[in-house]
Amino acid sequence: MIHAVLIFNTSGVARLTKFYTPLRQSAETLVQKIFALVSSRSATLCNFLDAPELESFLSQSSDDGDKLRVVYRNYATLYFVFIVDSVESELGILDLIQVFVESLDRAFENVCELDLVFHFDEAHHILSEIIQGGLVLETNVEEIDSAVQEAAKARKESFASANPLSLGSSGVGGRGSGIQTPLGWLTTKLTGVSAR
Amino acid sequence: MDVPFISSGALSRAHYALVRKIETATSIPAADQVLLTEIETIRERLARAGLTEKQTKEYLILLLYCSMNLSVGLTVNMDFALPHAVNLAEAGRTVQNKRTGYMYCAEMMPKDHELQLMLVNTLRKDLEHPSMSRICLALEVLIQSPSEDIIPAVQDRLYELLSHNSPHVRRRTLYTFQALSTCHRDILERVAEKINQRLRDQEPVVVTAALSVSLDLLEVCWSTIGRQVAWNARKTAGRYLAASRRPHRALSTGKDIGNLPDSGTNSTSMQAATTDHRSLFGTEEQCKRASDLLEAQSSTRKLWIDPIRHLLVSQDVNDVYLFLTCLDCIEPKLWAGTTSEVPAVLEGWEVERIMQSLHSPDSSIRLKTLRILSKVDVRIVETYYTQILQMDRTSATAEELVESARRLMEIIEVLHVKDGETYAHSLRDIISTLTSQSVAEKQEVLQNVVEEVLIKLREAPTDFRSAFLGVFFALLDNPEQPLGPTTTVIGAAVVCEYLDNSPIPPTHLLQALSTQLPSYNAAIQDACLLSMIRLIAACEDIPESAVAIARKVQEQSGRYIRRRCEQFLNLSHSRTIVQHIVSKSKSSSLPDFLMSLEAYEAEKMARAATSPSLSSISSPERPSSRASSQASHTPGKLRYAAYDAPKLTSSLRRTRTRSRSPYSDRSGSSRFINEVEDPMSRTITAGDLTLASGQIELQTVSQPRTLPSTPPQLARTVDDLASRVDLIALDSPFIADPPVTTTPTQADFDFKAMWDKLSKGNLRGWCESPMDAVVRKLQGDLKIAIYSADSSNPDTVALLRLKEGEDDSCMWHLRCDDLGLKDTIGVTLKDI
Repeated sequence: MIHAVLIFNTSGVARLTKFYTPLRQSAETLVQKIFALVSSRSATLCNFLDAPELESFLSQSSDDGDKLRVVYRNYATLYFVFIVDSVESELGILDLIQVFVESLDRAFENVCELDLVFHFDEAHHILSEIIQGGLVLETNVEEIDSAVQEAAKARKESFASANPLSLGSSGVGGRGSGIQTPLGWLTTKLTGVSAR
Repeated sequence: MDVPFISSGALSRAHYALVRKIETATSIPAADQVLLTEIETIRERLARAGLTEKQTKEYLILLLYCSMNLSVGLTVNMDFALPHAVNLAEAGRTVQNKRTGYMYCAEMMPKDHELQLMLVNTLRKDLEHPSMSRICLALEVLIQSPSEDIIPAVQDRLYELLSHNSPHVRRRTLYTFQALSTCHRDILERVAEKINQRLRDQEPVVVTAALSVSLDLLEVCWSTIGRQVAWNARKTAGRYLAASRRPHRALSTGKDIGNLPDSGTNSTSMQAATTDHRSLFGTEEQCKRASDLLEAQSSTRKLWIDPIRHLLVSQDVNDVYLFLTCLDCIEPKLWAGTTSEVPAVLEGWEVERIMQSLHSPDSSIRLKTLRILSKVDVRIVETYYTQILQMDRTSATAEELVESARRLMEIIEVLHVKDGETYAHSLRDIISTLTSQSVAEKQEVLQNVVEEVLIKLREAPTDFRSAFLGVFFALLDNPEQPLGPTTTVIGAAVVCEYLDNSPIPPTHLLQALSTQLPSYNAAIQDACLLSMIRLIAACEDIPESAVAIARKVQEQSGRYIRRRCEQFLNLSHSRTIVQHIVSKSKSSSLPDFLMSLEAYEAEKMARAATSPSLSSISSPERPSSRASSQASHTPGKLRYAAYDAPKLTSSLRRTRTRSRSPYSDRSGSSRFINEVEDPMSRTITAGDLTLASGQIELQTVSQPRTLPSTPPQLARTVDDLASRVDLIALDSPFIADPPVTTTPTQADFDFKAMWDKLSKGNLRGWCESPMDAVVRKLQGDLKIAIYSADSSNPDTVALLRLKEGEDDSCMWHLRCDDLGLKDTIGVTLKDI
């Protein structure tokens, strides 16, 4: 099971936090703890780490000795961190992070940190297309993208029916396509080439 | 943050302004203040009538943003927005608005909140709505926060939705049943037939969901339909494997359901594995039994190692980890050539490569390699252990010693995974070898060793822990063998935490800890003394020798240890008081005991300060507790009533290792840069016990903590763990002051009333330095009350207000009736 999905930047500022199991302590403390664990690891180390000290943060549903593991990936200024138990395959989760980032990239058209700052609600929605209740719902980027686009379309229609004179909104995040913010851009398309 | 509003994608100007303020805030308290003010503003706005949906949605999103960005320890109750969120979820005209309402409820509403019931009807209506997006939205909410109360209201509709036209609805409905089954186990049995149908669904996404639910169903349902579902699930898993569709999910299902794996499924798994090495995760899991894998291997005529062989030589360290994970799952006799039946599958250079992983900089890879090798032949690991242990470390630096300790600890963790006794003996060997080999580090505590041992003990099974403690307590009780600093610190912590499990009488432990007390440095003495105080609770009689040693140490030590000795001596005849302190402690750990002890001491001093007999002692020099704290300061020092809790920035504390992000560089959002982790906010680790070693700068730990100014209705609370005084307190043998209970006095201090009273003694000016520099100079912040210690009138006070300018400067405004004090401060401020 996936216990938590966290995104924070290279300074440790949380950009998205989603917990699928109840927390025993504050989310901020957990984010700081994981940031301390992850940020101190050099790029030459693997993207998985056992973190027994996290056991006290998350309520484990099963007491059968399932150890929590942290699977993370660093993309430009952001860390994407998944906390999973031993049921999940580490490599599968690493791929899932890639899927999540690609989905964000498709939805926001060149996703950058600012997109997550201003549209963290939308990022939550995209995440909910991939993970539901700690279980992987979908891993196919195409299907996630089409679901997000359908949801956006449905919202647009629903918005139009609620506001008959409006022109609707464009794009998922409401940001005009092609408008680029001058900072925080991920240097490459998030296809995993530069990611690790 | 240079992005303009138009291209930011912000919901509104207010949203943009808030984000901008936070991202460009110069410090965390400044950002917190902005967030608290914003929350207050939204609270007021939400209380107004006639809010539009758009406004409500925006406020809810802003509140979620505020909640995510508040710093650690600062919790604000945002329940005031819950009724609005519930209302938005109910009455929202667009799906987006409803989603925001639901999202706020999901993120902010406690599980047993009374408003949960208000959502039941809303969810039921959304489930019955013709729009697919509304149905999906409601299903997602149910998956996220299932509750028993909602089941009767929605289960009939959910049953219908299992046959909905849309695969998205069918899939989510299956997951909803799975989520609801955590509240009511029998709910799945009713839909077993439907789950069976969904296993044969046209849509793969639905089938994978059905596979997942069928696992849960099998745990509760062993009826005919249950067995039928199991059979179908296995069949489906096999079919999916053959088609290489979603291999991981199918394999994991096959693994869980297929308690009786047949060779057909296994060979299918092997086929999948040959096309996609990732499937091997499932294959090796499924083929736990060697015979199964061999059978599958022979049916596919391929070696199981072939699909993953290339991973070992990959440049990507993740691939190496993956290879080792696979290898770790397979029985060694299938690849190591340990039996004559199965030859070794790895080439010589491949084995060498695996051995090289022992020296990997990544501890996860090292541990995996050690586990694999110990499974092949434990003697390999034992030889490696001896080799590392006997390395020459005479010229090793402290870092190298720590790294050696880390690697040796990893080895004994693998070697003695179940045996606490041998683990304890090996641990003793490691510590004694490392400390004896390096002359420079003899008196140092190996902090990572202490930390890892204590974490391991907390997680270890009871029998491992008991065996370990048996050996360790016996070590402590052995007077002939002197313990090193590291062992003593571990012993002190273990005595305090696991005293109830001790096979040695507490009096003996007390005797043992006290015997070597004089030979240690102050930091270790502090840990020992704390444990000795803890032991009082369990001792019928305190040995005279322990008391005598404590007296001797008290005479020879600095103020901090003197105080700790005094505590021990005072409490040595008050067993019930110590028992009371122990009972008040949040946990049995040493830091929590210290916290409880200090709380007791503070309470005692507060009682003493308020009792008439004692207050008379303080006059005339100490007319009040507040004045008494003033009197202790030299004339040159200023007293203050600061807003911010004084930050303890001892060099011993771990500062957050933050790299400046490119984002921050460009945007200038520097609030998270160069900041020091709030010592009160970080998790206490056992390693803090040992941070004391090698301390040069000693610090004051008992400064009164004052809370920053917050709106009166917003309580600043620190979470359980973060609120504890960490063991850093142990490392201050020369504490400047005993705990002063001036906090209530400062909290009671009415700045505004005093400010108004002093309206005649105004002094204003403009500092050329940034406010931080002024604050640092005055050791205060924003509103500061300054007392002069040399004034004949103890009530003489100067009040200072600081307002930050935009160009790293600040305006100050001073009020003081005493001309001398006013001039002194005025000159100080002008000189900055």
